[in-house]
Amino acid sequence: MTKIKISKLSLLFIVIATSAFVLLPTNSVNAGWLADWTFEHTFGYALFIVMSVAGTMIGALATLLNWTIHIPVYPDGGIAVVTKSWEIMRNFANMFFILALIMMAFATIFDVLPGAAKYNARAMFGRFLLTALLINFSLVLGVMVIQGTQVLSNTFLTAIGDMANRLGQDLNPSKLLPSQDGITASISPGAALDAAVFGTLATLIFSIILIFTYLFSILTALIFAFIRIPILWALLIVSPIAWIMNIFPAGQGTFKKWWSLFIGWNMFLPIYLFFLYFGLYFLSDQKNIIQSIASEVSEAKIGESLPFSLQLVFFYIMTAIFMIGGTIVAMKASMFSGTGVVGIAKWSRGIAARRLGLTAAGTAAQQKLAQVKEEGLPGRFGKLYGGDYGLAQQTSRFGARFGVRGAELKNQKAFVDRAGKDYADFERQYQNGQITETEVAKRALQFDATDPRGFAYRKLAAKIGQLDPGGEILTTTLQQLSKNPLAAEDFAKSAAAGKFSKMKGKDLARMAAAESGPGYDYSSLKGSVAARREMFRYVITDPKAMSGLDTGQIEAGISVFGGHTTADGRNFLKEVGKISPSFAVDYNSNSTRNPELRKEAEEGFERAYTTDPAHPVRAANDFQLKTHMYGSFLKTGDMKDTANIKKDTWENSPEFKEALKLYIAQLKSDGIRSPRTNYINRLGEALLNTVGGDRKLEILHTEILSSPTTTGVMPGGRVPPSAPTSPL
Amino acid sequence: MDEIINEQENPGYATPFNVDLFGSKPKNFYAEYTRRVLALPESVRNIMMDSSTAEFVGENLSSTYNLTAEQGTEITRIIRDILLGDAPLNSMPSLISSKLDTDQETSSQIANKIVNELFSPAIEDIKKLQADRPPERPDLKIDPSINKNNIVDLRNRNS
Repeated sequence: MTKIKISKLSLLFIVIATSAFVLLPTNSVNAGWLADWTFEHTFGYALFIVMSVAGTMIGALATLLNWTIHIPVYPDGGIAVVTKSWEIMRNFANMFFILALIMMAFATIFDVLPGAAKYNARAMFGRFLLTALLINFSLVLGVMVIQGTQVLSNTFLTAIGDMANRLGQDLNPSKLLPSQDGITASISPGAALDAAVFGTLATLIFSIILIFTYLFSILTALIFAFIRIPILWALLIVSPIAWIMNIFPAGQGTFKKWWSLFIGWNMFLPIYLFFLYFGLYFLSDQKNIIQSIASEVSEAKIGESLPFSLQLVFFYIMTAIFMIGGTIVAMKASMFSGTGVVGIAKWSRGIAARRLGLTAAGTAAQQKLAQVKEEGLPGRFGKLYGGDYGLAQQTSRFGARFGVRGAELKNQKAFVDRAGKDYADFERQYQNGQITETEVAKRALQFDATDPRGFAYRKLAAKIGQLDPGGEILTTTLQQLSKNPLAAEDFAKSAAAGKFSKMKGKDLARMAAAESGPGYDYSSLKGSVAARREMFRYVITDPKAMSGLDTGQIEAGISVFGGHTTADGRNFLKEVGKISPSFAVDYNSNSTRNPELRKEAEEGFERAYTTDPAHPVRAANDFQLKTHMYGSFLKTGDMKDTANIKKDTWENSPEFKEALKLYIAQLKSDGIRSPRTNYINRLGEALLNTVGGDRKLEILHTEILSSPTTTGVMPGGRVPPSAPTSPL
Repeated sequence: MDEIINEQENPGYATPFNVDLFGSKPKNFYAEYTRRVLALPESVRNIMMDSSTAEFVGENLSSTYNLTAEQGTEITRIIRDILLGDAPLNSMPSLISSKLDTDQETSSQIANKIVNELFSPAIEDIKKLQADRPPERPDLKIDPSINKNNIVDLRNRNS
């Protein structure tokens, strides 16, 4: 910015001159008629010419504007240049469909490439189809938008009527001009310097500015109103390109930009017409305003009110603001409306879609698509599409063939994980009461266990205790999952959680042992080791099922757990010992099959009976050893375990009876609260609730508690029990 | 070498449940007895089998009324019979009196103490059991020593 430098001296002169001009007393001066005439006519003509030219131009522009705004952008018969150009563009755009297909194909094939996902068929195909359909209607759609906004424009056009005529009538520039008297008064050096002088002068200056403002505003409006037509034509012509860009992720911005521009230029005219209508409406009521101003000025004293013309100028300024501002606002608002309309269109589409359930359906479809992608698409005759799960399985299968470490396990785990999702769904449905127990059991048999859904239903049936008493679900599941021990184990765990309900303990024991016999054959379950382990683990927690185990089944259990040397095997044997100590005792004392266990037992005996290491007390016979072993079980087990010991052992094992005698004998017996009394009372109570409890109770009272046992001290230790010579 | 018999050293320490279980019994005794005990309400069964019952008889009653061990055992049997419904509850004083050979007043006091202190947690169940007992009928069997010719059969219209 350049600063105008005014010296201090000059500034002082201006101030003094102005003060003198304003403050000096006024006197009429007769400068002579020639000077007055020359000044008046020269200035008056100059003013006349300026005003006339401006007024003529305003009239011409208003006529042109009126004509322009009535031009239809796209007449009914169409515009040849637009139609033909659009066809060329459409044909050109159609070539890009091939390109889009190739891109989709490559992106889908090489889906693993980073960034390729948004170009693959899943991402692009929807837009591809939509564009392929709508690109041929892009011209029609564009014309529809034009006609839509034209309807809006027509509303204002009808309301405005003859715009040029109304502008001419209402916007009378002559009213802006000060009267000749006023002018001469203001310029005559002899006239009184009253308030009107400044008012007239200001009115004159403002009127000139205002005239040109109107001129400019109408010119601007005319230019915009006119150029929007070719712009809209151009946008219509390139519309196929905009549509084709919509297919490609990178071109979607361009497509949106096209729509915002197109709608923006369409909306310019209705918005401008709105402001024009408003401005004209304002002008049409000027009579009332002018009258109000005039009455105020006539009644006011000098200095109390603004001069009439100045108020009028203000009124016209307001109108000018509406006219110029209207053009500017129309331009801005239309461009905003372009993006706004696109935004609103998106918003309204969202609302409508939500109302119609399309959003939900779309979201659900996307979720389903994601699910299909992950889990595959099941068909009537197998899988149509395997999804990630199918791919993982296939990879694992090939991996297993190629000997990849852990590939098979991965495959099994993928199946369990996949079925786990179905299981969670089905379980939720069951919890919500959407499916009943019966339906679960029914559906469990509708699908194979190798189908994730079938597995999930079977697992749920097992969990909620709906395994059929015949064991069909259990056995078929384990048979079908013979190649997936992980899933079989998972299933068996669920069944154990459901306590294998509805299944008889005897059948469960047979299945766990993979036995076959008259009327049943579970030998096919031999391979389902993990599942059988789970069954045995459950069996040892259920005293009733446990007491039903026969020797062969117990042996099968030990075998399933990897023999008595493994932790699981030892634990199983220990649990078996609680219910069936006779088996454990026989098993542990069998010197042929398990010499190390026998040796261990003999060492235990020696430790128990020897008090002087120099004279070790060893078991003289099997009776002594086994009695000692029974005694160990009685000591480690609790009251319930003793009561649950099989009736057969109670009846037929003299070693057990002797051990129980010894065990009770070593308990203190010194009153009502003595451990012995307490033990006997509690054991009697516990026996009542066991299988064969009455017989055990009889044996307890008539044999164990009523016949003597031997004890005492011998060199080196305590006296071991003697073998009975007759029934105890 | 010592011989040890595990039989409870003092039968007075027995519970009503096992007071007479030692020794030989008729066939199916245990099966029938077990079935009957298991059929009892839990509250009754608790009194029947709990060691606290033995303590109540062996310590509380015995010390209060200076009962011998045999008398304690008799009381335990009476309690068992009442709990099983074999004996009526209201006959307890007379049963105590006859079995323990005590006077009526002491018998009543003992009976009251048993009902108030031992039976109280299960008194409702015991009353129900007692109500379910078949009513005691008079013995209508004719003593074989009585001459049948001296008996008039009122149902026989011909006579």
